[in-house]
Amino acid sequence: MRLSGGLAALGLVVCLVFPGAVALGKPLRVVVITDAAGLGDRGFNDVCWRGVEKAREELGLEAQFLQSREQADYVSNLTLAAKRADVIVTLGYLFVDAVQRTAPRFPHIFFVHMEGEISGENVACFDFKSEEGGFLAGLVAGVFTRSRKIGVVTGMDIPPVEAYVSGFRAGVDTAAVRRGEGIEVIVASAGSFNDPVKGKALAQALMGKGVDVIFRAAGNTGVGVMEAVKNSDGVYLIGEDLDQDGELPGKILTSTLKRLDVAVHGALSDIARGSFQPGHRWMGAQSGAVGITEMRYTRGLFRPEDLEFVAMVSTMVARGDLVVPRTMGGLKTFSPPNMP
Amino acid sequence: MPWRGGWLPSTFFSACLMGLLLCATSGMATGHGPFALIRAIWEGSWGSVDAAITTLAKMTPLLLTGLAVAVAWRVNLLNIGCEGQLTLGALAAATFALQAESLPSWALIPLSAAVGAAIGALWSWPAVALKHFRGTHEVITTLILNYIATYLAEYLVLGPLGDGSAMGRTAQIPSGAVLKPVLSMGVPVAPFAGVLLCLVVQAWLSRNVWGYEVTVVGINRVAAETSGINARGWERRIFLFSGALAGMAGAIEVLGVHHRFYRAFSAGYGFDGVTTAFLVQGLPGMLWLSALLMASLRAADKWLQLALGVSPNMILVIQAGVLLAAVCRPAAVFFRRGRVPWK
Amino acid sequence: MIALENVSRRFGFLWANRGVSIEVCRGEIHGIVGENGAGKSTLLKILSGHLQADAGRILLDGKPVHFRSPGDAAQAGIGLVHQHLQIFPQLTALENVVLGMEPKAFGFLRRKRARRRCGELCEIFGFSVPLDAPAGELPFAGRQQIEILRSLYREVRVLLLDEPTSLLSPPEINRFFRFLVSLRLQGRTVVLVSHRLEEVMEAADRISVLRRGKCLGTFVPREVTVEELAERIVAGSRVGDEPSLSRSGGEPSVVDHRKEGKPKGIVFRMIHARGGGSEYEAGLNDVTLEVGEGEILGIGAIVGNGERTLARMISGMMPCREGSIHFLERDISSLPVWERRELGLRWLPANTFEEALLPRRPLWENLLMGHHRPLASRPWGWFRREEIRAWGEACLAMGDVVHGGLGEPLESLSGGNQQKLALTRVLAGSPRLIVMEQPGRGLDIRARRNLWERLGRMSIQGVSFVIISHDVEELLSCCHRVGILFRGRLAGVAAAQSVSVECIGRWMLGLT
Repeated sequence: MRLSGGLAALGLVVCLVFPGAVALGKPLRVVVITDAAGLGDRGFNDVCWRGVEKAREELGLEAQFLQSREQADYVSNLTLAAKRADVIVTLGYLFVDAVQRTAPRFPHIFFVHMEGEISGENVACFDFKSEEGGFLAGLVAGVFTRSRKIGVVTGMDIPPVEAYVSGFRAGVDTAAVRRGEGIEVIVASAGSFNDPVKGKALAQALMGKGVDVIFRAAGNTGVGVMEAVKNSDGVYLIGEDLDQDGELPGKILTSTLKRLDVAVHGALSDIARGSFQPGHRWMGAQSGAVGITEMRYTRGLFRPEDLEFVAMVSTMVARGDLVVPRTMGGLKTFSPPNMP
Repeated sequence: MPWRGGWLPSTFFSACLMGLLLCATSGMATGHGPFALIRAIWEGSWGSVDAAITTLAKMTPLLLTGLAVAVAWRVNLLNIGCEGQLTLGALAAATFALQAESLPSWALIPLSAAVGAAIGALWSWPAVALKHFRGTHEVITTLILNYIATYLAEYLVLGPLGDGSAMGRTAQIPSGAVLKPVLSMGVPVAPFAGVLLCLVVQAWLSRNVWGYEVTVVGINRVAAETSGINARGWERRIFLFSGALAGMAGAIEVLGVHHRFYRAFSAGYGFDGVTTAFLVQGLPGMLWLSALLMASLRAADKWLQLALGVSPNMILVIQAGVLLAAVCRPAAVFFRRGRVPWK
Repeated sequence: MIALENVSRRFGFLWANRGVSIEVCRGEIHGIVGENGAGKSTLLKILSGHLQADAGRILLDGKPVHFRSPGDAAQAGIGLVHQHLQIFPQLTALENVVLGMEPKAFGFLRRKRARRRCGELCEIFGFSVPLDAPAGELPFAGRQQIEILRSLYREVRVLLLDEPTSLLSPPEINRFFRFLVSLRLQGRTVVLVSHRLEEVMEAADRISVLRRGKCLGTFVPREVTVEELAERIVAGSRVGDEPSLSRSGGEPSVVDHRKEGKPKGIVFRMIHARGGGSEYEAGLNDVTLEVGEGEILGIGAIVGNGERTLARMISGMMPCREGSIHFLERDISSLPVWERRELGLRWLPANTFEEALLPRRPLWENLLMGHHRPLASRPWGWFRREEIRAWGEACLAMGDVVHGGLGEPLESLSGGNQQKLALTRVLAGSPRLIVMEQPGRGLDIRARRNLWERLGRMSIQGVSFVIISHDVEELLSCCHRVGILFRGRLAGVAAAQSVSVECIGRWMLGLT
């Protein structure tokens, strides 16, 4: 009796201390950790989850997601997940500190991180040249706008968002040069990625200022922006991070694409094959991870020459001929290419 | 005997009962069986050493903000402003620790906490001053002060006090200012200190002449004044103390958990303090019970997701149900019947 | 109609009622008399469903009934008017009356119908309640009428009255007894609890005597004298030298100190004071008065003539709009209450239960208020328990308070004992001037005598008193000087020995 009790206790300790030990011969277990917005933001988190699901179907993974209630929970959630999983995927810039602190404690666990740079032998992290997507979106908005006023609703002003905004502004400027007339860009920040109510209010305020295109770069907050656009005529939206065109067909000019799913899927496949590559990588238009949609509902709204113009500039960006500024500082020195 | 023994607040038990009931019904509704949710909450909060440490760490701010609300309630003031006091206290503590990093650790930690407490008290002062001189209700003023505090902190941390990045946060505090867990295995010491503080406050209220004055002011202000007690003075002092406790909660969060201040800092600890206090009818000596419950619920949400795939918002529903039960006090009537003969 | 059989009820170690059997007939006014703590209020509360008997039973019209709540009793037609009135001060008089029985239509109060019914009742019984005034602003008599109206509104057959006359002035008492007679004429039954034997003798058809929770029998007023009744009430104590508190009974022994020379110096001075007042109660209007060291100054008034304002202004609860107040050579007009208390000025409010006591807290906490600081250790202020216990026991013994232990809550005491506790608290220590409103409220004859003896002794030691009471006869027999307030003005002040009752009467009615 006592012996078996002791063995059970020992087993428990083993399980706690060597979580990897019990995983041998079993499918790879993946835990995806998100910020307070969680899944269902129809943006960043959902795109990543799509990549995980694809990998799950192809590779037979076990995947779970974990929504964090507050920033104080990041480290403890990572710790908890590390004890139940072989791979941890963290989504978003806010996790950088926590992963940096946790990863060294679990050298046998693989960490895949989206947005932000983290060092470590067991960490692979991906950054996206959001500015390139933003640039193309800005281009589309710039050639489209009739009121010559364009709005942007952002979540928090963190670096990836800043990249989006500065790229977007650069795109608008390029279009303005082509049109030969000035275009105003108004940026409104909600201060949170998870506040749809505020997003809606900000969008309505922007419309009040005469804006006819709004770019949402606000995570779950953008759901409110979409809501506002849905209810008003003559105002169009530009989606972010994944193809949202189908959500309001005809009202969403285009969506920026950030193929987080490609990156996540790639990283998970690497791990499953045993060829994990640690380190930090930039994903951009060149690798096909960033871009805009084909505008399948809204092509009719544009003049053909404008569409040609957009397509031409896109290829320039994809070839690397055109460098888009990633920060506000870079935007100041950016001079729009003069095109025929 | 002139002193009667303590009693267990029936409110708390009725609240627990309600919580269990909610867990059971929602567990059944989601097809996990009536006990799955309860077990998941237990395992998530106390099931392993790590979980227990997390839960304990979450107790500290709840204890302090709960005590802040409880002591203010003792003089019939409702401090809804813990959220703002906590936020500014945290920012002040982080800033102080960054400025005074040359100080030795034994001085830096208590001084940073004290600075946080002082700022918290300062932020509660307008509410009580306006109440005394203009008759403004403290619930309204503290609520408004919360908004001011949140945005003031946001402004400061994006501007002069930030680390220069666009993240809206301060730099990491020096390692000398980090409040390290002292007990073995990383068990934090702060929650135990918090419980001790609550017990001391309880003893002070029931066995100390000044605590007695506070009690009398809270029960019958007219009677207190006619007995030579400065009711207004006590209201002011206790409210400032309440603000200081909330500020201290923020400071300890910075020193012990986050090691920096960032915007949207509080995560609702200020408002959960109200729940914590009212679960035990504002008895400081019983706060450890309710803080334990609230911290367990807060800590369990990750396990709920991993083990059952249930949304963490379920925890919010349970918390709301628990508070509702505490406010209704159905069992209080039940437990009372026949016990108190006078009425 | 109602019969109590062997009803018993215990609080802690105290038997409040022990095997009480009383029979009340239909259409009679049944008096219940007894000492403080004899169990009178408890009995009424059992009858009205506020308390449940531990043993015994209640028969209503010959059938045993069991009231689990006041609602049950109300349904059976029994209503209680409490000693401590149960009034919602923010609501209007009308709302207070109809509370719980509101005439409703689709959830809205049918105000007109309620008003008509209340108006009828007021007319029948000769009440003059301003129905739209907030109840909290009415004088005591008005609030009492609200509570009585509430019972009448519910068509009670049996009205239980607990000390209804304790805060009423003499003319109001007369009116009140006329009201009782009109109730009887309507065939309703009244159970009346009172300390004032003469009143009960005059009004009641039969009188039951309670002593220490037991019923000593029921008497018909014509067949016993006041003295015989008094003897039964206090049985065992010296009844022979019971001082008559009325002037006609000769000079009471307790105030002999009055002859011992003139007051030495002026302790308190109020100069041309104005302030306070509401629609329903007079404020002070140019009042000037002085109190000498060791003097007992009585202030008499009919309810609502500014007597409450006077006490509140002296104590500091109410600001002095004009004029000034001086105490011990110092202008205290702008000092807050607690600072005045620290100078030695104390106040006993009229409604001690609400304004001076903590009903749910233990006796020792109640007793300690105002005396707490010296009983704590320095410098941290922790209570010295043993000292507090000794002090508390001594204090309660001095005040003759019957209690079941210092840890019991105040609510467990009878109304009279609560008053005694408040009195002994305000008298303890070393006060210089004490303002007392209705100090004799709820006290029986013996306690009243003890109180006046104690005041007399303290005044010889140099403590001054301002005593505000509606019982002018009592003031005349026990104070050095007596003043009368009429509509906020001091109608006159005179030495109690030399002034004639007629003169006082004229002052009270505002004639000069």
